[in-house]
Amino acid sequence: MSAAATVAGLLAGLEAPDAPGVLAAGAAQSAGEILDAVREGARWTLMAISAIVLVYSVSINTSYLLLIFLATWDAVHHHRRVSFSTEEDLYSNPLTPPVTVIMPAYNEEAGIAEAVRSMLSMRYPTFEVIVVDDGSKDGTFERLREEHNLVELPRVVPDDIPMRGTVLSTHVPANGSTPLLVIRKTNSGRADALNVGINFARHPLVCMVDADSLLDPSALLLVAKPFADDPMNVVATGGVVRIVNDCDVVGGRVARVRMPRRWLVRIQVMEYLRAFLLGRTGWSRLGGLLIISGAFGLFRRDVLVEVGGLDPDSIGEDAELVTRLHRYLREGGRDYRIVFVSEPVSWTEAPSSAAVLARQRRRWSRGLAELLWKHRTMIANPRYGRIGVLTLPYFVLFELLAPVVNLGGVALVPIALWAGAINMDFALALLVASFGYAVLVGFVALAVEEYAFRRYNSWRDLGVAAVASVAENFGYRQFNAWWGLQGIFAALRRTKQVWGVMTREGFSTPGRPAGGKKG
Amino acid sequence: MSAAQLVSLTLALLAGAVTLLGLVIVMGRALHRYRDRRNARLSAGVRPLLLELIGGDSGEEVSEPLIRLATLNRRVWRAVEPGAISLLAKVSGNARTALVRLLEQRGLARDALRDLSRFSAVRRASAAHVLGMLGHAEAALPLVRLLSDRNAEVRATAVRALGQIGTAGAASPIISMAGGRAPFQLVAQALIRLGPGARPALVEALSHDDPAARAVAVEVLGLTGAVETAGALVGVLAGDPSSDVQVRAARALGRLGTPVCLNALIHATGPAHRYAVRVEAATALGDLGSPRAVPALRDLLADPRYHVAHSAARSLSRLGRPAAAALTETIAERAGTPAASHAWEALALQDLQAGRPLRLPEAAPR
Amino acid sequence: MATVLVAEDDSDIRDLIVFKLEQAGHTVIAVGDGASALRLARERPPEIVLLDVMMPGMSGVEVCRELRRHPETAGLPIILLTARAQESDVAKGLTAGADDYIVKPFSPRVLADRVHSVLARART
Repeated sequence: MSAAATVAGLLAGLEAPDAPGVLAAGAAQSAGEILDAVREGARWTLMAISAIVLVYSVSINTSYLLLIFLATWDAVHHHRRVSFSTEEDLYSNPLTPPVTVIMPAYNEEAGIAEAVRSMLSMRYPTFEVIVVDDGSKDGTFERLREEHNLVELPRVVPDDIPMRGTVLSTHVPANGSTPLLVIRKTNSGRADALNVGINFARHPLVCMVDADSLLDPSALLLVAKPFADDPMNVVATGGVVRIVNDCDVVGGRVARVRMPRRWLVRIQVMEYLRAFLLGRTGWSRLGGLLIISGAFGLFRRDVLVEVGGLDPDSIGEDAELVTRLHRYLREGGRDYRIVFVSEPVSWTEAPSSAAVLARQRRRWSRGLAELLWKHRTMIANPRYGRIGVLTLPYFVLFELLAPVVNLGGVALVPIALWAGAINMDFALALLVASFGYAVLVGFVALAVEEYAFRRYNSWRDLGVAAVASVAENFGYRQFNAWWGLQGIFAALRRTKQVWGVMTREGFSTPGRPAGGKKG
Repeated sequence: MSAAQLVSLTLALLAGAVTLLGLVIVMGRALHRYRDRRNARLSAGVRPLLLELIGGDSGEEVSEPLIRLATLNRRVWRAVEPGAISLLAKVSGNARTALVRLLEQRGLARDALRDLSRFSAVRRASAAHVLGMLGHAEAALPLVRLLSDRNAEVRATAVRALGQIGTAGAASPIISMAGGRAPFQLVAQALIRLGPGARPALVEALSHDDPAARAVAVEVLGLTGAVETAGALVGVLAGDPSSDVQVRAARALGRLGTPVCLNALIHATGPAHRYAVRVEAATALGDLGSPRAVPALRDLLADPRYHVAHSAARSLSRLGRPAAAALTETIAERAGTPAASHAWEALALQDLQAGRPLRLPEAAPR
Repeated sequence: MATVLVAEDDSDIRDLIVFKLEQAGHTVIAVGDGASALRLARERPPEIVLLDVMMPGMSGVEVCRELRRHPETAGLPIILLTARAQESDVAKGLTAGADDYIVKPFSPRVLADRVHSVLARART
């Protein structure tokens, strides 16, 4: 401020020779004017920021509302369809394509046996389960060996997709009929473990699931349905992920759905409903679905091989994969569809402590930032169709930058009010736009859930859901924004690191493996 | 209107909307629960009658429940109807016959035929559904007309219903639905249900312009064991422009399993064909199950493309003793090569299937 | 007449089976999932078991395999109920040790006859 005033003073001084008679008085007067001008400028800036926050809040909530309406159309449609087309049809149909389920596992000894048993009793005509033990240091493999009486069956390691880890051994159940393959390999991360699984997969469709998520018995059948309906065009489908905390789980299945006990998780239930279930259904309707959750996605194997599998360097490898699929298929001028199915459900444990939640959200936001950076040429590029001109710009504006605007609003609007840049009416308008509108959106989502899915049965759960969708806006959202911001900063730092690695690789001497020590 | 008024008006509107939504949610749920409970109560009273009807053995045993159910008052019947319709898909034989008789007497077929031309797409679709479930033959013609309905749901339901009714004459119009006009798997399922009568139309469809139509025809011919069409399918495998259709043709030939299929599949594993087709042909030779495929499959073990060699090994593991001899030979002749490793895997699979301890190479690749 | 244990998750079909078998003079115990079927079969062994292949939690094939594994239930006659066209289910069921299978949709009369003949075979 003082520096600016000095500069301004200097500039004012430059005018002196033109009007020597009023030099002293003029200087004093202009200093005051300058200060006024600066104050005015600051006021204008604050006002502009407030106005931006207002417009932003209105548009982001409106976009949610639009997505929900699009999703509702789909959900209602689905609801009606259920009565005509039964799962029985798909289950007994010889054309339902066989699926390979890939379950990467790293130190999962506690739940792996249950997860695999539950996976093997899925309702699906033909499928195999591949567990990729990603160099676990606990008894993950031993549990499986005991449970299924595994024997080693050496296999030639396929190389469709480049792999980083080394396959140590492959095992199958001794009974020769259970469709299970367990691969042991050196540790190389989730994405690479999935790539190994894709290499070994024998069926045309590949389903990626997390070892700690539970699937509804008919989930696979429903998520495979778009492939059976439109085999020439569908390349990927994703299913709904819901939160399992405090539900009754019997024999690896969710037997009774309940609202979680902790408010932190209850709020996440509503958030998942709005953003993941309805948001993604909406995007799918628009033909611009970008994210298929890693906890439950189904892909055509041949297309995965064509794009080279998952990117082991990516933090958000699931979203990155889908973006790359869009990119590749658009560039190849192919007709394709990526579909979100709103009914089949995978249940996953949500973080119940703020620390774990913070880590998850930082990772999400960092993954998104890195993804958008990596595929920045696609943004607003009409060559990539709706993904280019609609989804990606939306993600930059309303997903990536939301934390910035959100926290900016929280910090600056009170100052603006105090400085008199905005009046009480404007502040109220802001409050209404960002909180009142958000509460409305939450209630619309709840109404759709109630009408189309009706997963939560008790009146109490309904009340809790209503309170949670209000509570989300006070505290939770702001912390989320803060973690999101941290994620963006982490991404900025890492981008530099990756560049560093690339430079080093460029200088590596021939004959020596490059990039041996990745940063 | 001043800014302050605008803000308070918006706030009031929002509060109103939230309250309204809350009410809608609560009322909706209450209504839904009430209806569920009422329907459960009403149908529970009638359920024993329904069980007597479908569980009865002879005509006399079912005549009494039939009369009582047919004369139920409308309110009770409406609660029972959905359950009765869904039971249609679960029972066969005289149980189904009795149920169809009841539903016809209740006028379901008549109402559904009328509903086929309703304005509401849901009504049209559910009418088609009911007619299909009943297997109502007179509905075939109006259902074929429904194949050009503007609503996708209605078209899909009509396809399925035509399959359930089983009018072979509907084959051609159904086939032309495959290219995105109706779900592929439903089209295939319906054509399978039509049976041998649909074969001429299916063979004709092998030269359809739309690859989806050719694909569905190939699949259905393979799945329904249309051995007399093997020659035509061999032509598809050799010359179809779509590799997806070729892959399906390979699979179909593996299922049909005649000698002409065997030669065509062996030929299709050759290097001149596309990768996906070669893989599928190698797999299909295992399905086919003839030991005459063993020499060709053995050569494929040394193929540089992983999935060709792997599928050949899998197929060999299913071909019994002649294959075992070929595998042992490969291991001896090509020791240390990937071909030998593929052969080991196939032998181990044979051991697993037979419940023997696994034969393993001396130094298992670790 | 015999004590029959039925495990079937579809209540329509379950009720129908119970009705038909009771009509034929059997005593029927019906449950809706595999785990309860297994528990009941061990606590009070019936004379014959009818298992639906696709049930939540534990499939009919798994129950069948478990029953065969334990000496006190190993000799129980078992009939599986399976959906149409799933040959793999039938094969799995027979390798797991089932005595017979019935394909859905089924005729209640045929079901009663099958139970009768499997029982007769087991008693000789």
